[in-house]
Amino acid sequence: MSTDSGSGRAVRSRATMAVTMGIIIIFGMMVAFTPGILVVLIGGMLPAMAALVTDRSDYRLAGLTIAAMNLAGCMVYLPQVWDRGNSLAAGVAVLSEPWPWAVMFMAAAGGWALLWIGPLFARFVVAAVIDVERRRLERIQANIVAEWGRGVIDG
Amino acid sequence: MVDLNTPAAVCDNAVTHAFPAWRTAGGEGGPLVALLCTPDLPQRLKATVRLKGRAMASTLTLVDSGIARYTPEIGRRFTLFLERPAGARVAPANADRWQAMSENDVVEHVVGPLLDALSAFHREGLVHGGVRPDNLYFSAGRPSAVVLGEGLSTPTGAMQPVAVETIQRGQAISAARGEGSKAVDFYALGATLALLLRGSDPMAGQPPEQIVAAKIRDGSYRVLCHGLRATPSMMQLMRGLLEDEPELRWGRAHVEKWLAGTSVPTPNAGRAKLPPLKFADGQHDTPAALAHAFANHWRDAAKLIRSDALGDWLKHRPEHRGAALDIQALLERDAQSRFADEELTARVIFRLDSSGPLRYRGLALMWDGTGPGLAAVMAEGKREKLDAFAALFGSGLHLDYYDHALRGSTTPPRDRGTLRAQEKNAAQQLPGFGLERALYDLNPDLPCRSSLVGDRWVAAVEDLLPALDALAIRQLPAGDPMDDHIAAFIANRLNLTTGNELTGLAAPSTRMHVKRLAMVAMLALVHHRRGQPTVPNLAGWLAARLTPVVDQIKNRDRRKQMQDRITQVALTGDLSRLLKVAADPGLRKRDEAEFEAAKRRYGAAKQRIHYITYDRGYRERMINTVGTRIATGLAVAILVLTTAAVVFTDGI
Repeated sequence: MSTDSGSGRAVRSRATMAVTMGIIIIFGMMVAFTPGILVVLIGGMLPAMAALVTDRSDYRLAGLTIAAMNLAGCMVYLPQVWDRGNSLAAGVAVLSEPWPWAVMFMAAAGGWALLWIGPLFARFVVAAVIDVERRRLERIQANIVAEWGRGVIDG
Repeated sequence: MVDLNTPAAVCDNAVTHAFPAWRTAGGEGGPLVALLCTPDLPQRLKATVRLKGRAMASTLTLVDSGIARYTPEIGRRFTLFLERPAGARVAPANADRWQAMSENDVVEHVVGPLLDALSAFHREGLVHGGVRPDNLYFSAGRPSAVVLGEGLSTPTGAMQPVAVETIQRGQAISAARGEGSKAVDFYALGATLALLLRGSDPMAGQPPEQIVAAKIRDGSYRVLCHGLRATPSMMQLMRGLLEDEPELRWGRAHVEKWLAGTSVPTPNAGRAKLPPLKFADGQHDTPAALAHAFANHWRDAAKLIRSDALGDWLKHRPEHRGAALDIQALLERDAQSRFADEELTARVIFRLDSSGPLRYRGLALMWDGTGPGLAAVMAEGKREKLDAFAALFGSGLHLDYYDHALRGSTTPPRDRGTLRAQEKNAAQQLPGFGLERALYDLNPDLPCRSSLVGDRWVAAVEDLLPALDALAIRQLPAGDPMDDHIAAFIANRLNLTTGNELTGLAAPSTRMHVKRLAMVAMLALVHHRRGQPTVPNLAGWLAARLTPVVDQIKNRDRRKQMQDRITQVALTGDLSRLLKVAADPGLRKRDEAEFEAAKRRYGAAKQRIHYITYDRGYRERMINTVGTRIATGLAVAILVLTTAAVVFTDGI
């Protein structure tokens, strides 16, 4: 048991290491080849970073939702940086305007909105799923009674 | 060939019915009479085997015997085929008066022939046990030499009136008088002579206990011969034969001498009397008289017994001091662990009169007459007497009496261990045991008395299965093919003392499957040990009674399969296979284990339904999880669409 959990921790540790190394490599390549985009993403993705850091849920789905929406808001301004030569100055120029900040942060806020709306829809979905599950279990019970008689119920 | 339409009144009696019979074509000899024996009482089978086909002097010859089938109303009966008497009965049956015989006729036609007859029996080591006026037949017209009738169709002496029985045997239940001895036959001869000379029974109409009390008080000779007018020689013969002390009673040699006219001394026992002791409604001056009074008033005897008066009374004569000491020892035991009044009374009675029967709560049984006595009481069916028998076997009283009755006797004792085992069987209140078991243990030749096969004379256990099979030929009977009698009969014949076959039969009605399976097991045991006869009707009957056993199988498909297999096997009539299919412990074990697993599966599903339906926490967690996944999915979709739009519209 302890051996299993120990090897599990080692696997997770190696995965985290690989992700970190990947981020560092990507970060390094972006510093070298797309400094403008990097600057816009650093500034525009601040809400996503905050969400990912504070999210303690399994798989950090809430953080991922906000990050995805936040990234979608940043994507709108990346062509402008690309068109201006993808330099550090081009990135700073985009960030010097208020609208890009508003769009990127509002997109992140859209992620929060989705997290609020999702459970409202989920309520109907879950009711349907539970109903299906209950019917399946009742069918199993009926089969058991048919095979063994009502004696199985008394037990 | 037997003519059942015309009873042969000449040989009929209260329990054995006689019909005219003829030998089969080619058979030599004259006409016969068939005696259809009652299944309620045991017959003297060993004596029957020895006497069959042998011409005994001055006795109706037993030509043949065996179990014969009659009409459905009569069923099968053990039958004795006797030579039909040529003349009439000397005295009609159950009559108080008849034509008296002259002394000359008695000497000429009765004494000699009966002496020859009894001598022949005694040479064979047999007691006749049936010498009485209505069991004598003239060999031709009246008067002529008499021939003696049969004494085999019932236990020895069972048909004898108290008048012709000794004091001791006269006190016993008529079927429980035991085998007796030569002296008993000679007493009956003396009493018969007295009655024939009188032409009447001087004690007719008197209750048996009164006749016995008179014989004890006055002596048999005085009771039977009082007022009889006969020559001194004839009176001497009767005095010799009616002597109440068996050792002093005349026997064959004395009578032969008397017939030859030689002088024979008359016995004179003398009577050592004690001072009168008052008990119940009389004064008693001998231990035997007091014992008889105790037996007749057993509810009132304990008070006198527990006082010092009884011991003091006995010590008046030296010959009774042994009995006094014995009773004193008994009372010391009583002081430590008190006997029930009736048990104490019984124990004192046979200490006062060890040659008499065991007298307990209205029962009176000679030491070797318990079995036939029980058969008679069971046929009578009186609850009070049956309860007395049950208490008798449960108290150890019977063994104590047995030891006292045979103390100093030359009679070879029965195996005491067997007797103890039989008492143990009788004392158990389980099917296969109890009084029914005692009935068959103590009467090894008695046919099964179950109401199911009562008219089929099932004497051997191998006849039981065909007899039960015949009951189910037309339609299946409503009840079980097993009752207490059948269980006890099988247990006796197969010598079963313990085991599942018997204990299972005692299962309560709530465990009917155990009871029914035990029933099949017991019949299958008979089937297995006795040649495995094919009994398809009985098997079908049992199969129908096995529903509670089949219902114990929980799985419906498996249950149906078992029912089908039982039905199929029943058609073969093989009870051993039927038991194998019905019992099948492996199948039951597997079924039980799978049933438990099914119960657990059902319970788990029930718990899960309750959980997903009513647990609010579970529902909320599901909603949050699913909601978050929906949000994440939508966000990723929006990201993908936005990226696609940017790429395709701006062409990064």
